[in-house]
Amino acid sequence: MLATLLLNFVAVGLVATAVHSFLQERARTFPQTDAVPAGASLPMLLPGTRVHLGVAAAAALALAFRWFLRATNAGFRMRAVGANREAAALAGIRVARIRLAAFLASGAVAGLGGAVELTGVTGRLYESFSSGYGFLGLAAAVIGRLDPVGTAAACAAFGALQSAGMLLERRFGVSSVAVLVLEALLLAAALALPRWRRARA
Amino acid sequence: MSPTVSFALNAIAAATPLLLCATGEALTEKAGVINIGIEGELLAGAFAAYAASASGAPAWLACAAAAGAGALLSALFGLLTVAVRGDQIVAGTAVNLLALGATGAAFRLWWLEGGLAAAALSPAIGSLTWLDLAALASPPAAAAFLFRTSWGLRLRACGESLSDARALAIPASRYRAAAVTASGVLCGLGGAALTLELSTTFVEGMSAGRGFVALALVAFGRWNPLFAGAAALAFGVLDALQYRLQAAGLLRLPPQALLMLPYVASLAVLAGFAGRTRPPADLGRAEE
Repeated sequence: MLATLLLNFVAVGLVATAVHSFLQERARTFPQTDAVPAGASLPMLLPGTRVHLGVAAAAALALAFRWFLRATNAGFRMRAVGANREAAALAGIRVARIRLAAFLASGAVAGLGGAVELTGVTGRLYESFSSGYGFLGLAAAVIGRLDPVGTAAACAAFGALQSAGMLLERRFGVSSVAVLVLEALLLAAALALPRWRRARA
Repeated sequence: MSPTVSFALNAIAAATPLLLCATGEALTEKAGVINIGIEGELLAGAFAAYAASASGAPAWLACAAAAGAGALLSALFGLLTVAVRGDQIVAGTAVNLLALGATGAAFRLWWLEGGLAAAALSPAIGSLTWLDLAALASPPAAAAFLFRTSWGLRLRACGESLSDARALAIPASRYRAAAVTASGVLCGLGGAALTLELSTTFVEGMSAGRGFVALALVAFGRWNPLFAGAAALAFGVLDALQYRLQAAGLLRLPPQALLMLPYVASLAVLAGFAGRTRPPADLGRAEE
């Protein structure tokens, strides 16, 4: 767990180094890359908005992962490993292989997330490109109770909060960083709620 | 003052926030709590020091405010992880978001126009302030506590084996809560050093990943505050050196590359390149 946490910052550092040096835009003004060519950006689903193909891909993936976890043999084995590693091993499940597969799949999906953000929204790579999406995604998984569809719903809620924050800033001059406070309180509530329920039961 | 001495003093000043944060993180991780919220606690400390000194408080009061802000945030973290027993990474994320959002919003609301200079700490020895000296003393003090006192032994038991701790009737929740609060105070003071020493004002997000660097330094120092402190000092030297080299035009490497170094070095240690090492066995595990 610690190694993955540390690798985050290696990746952030690599991107920062790259956009300050060999990947910097031709104009050399800002630490960012040139924009991707027009033909390489994702098509928009709703014209005039920022709803791009990646949104549909994310929804489809959430449904696909739920189906995989609930309805396939491999998905059952994966849940067994997560529920009780020792029992799974005793039942003949190759624990290390499944965990590695889950790791690789999650890395691939996260990479896809970066790719659609770049080709669908920002159009270029820059320092602090990922403003904590990974940590928020982790939080969404906890709020969504580790169910892919629940997680997607939690992500949609975070997205709604963020765009509401931008709207508030434009219309009423409330600074958009205040939304972060709201997100933090949401996380705190999500952590505290199960405990509170248990205490009442 | 000779250039070498002044360089060394600069390096120590640059290492001060890291020393304090790494010592705090070593305490919580030895107690079995991984606190990524130290980044937010550092930022909150920096903001509180700025807010206090912009309101006319003297430097020592600004430091006290910073320690208080760090303690307050870490109390929230302790509530979520120790009392409610929630996921430690998610709780840390919540603390970081809260600190970034609250300090940013408050700063824009009250101080954005006419950013005031913060009170400066007066030097105690050479150009070193008493805050620097406290930072230098914190790793040996934490190591002495952890490895030479019975309280320290019990605290480590909470990190190594919760079930053994329970069998010995050690109140793990209390030890963990105490370690988390102490780390908040230390990180808050680290934030005061950021505002009052390394800068003269507050900037949004000015902790700039130093909390996460401290996290890496603790792993690099194999969970011993002494080694983590030494690593923090080494990083301070590199940081100060990097400034000199950039200024002299001798270094073409972007400074961002240097920021990766502690993480890569810690990964190398975790991967076993420096002999066998392992984190506290019950690190990250909540009580049953």
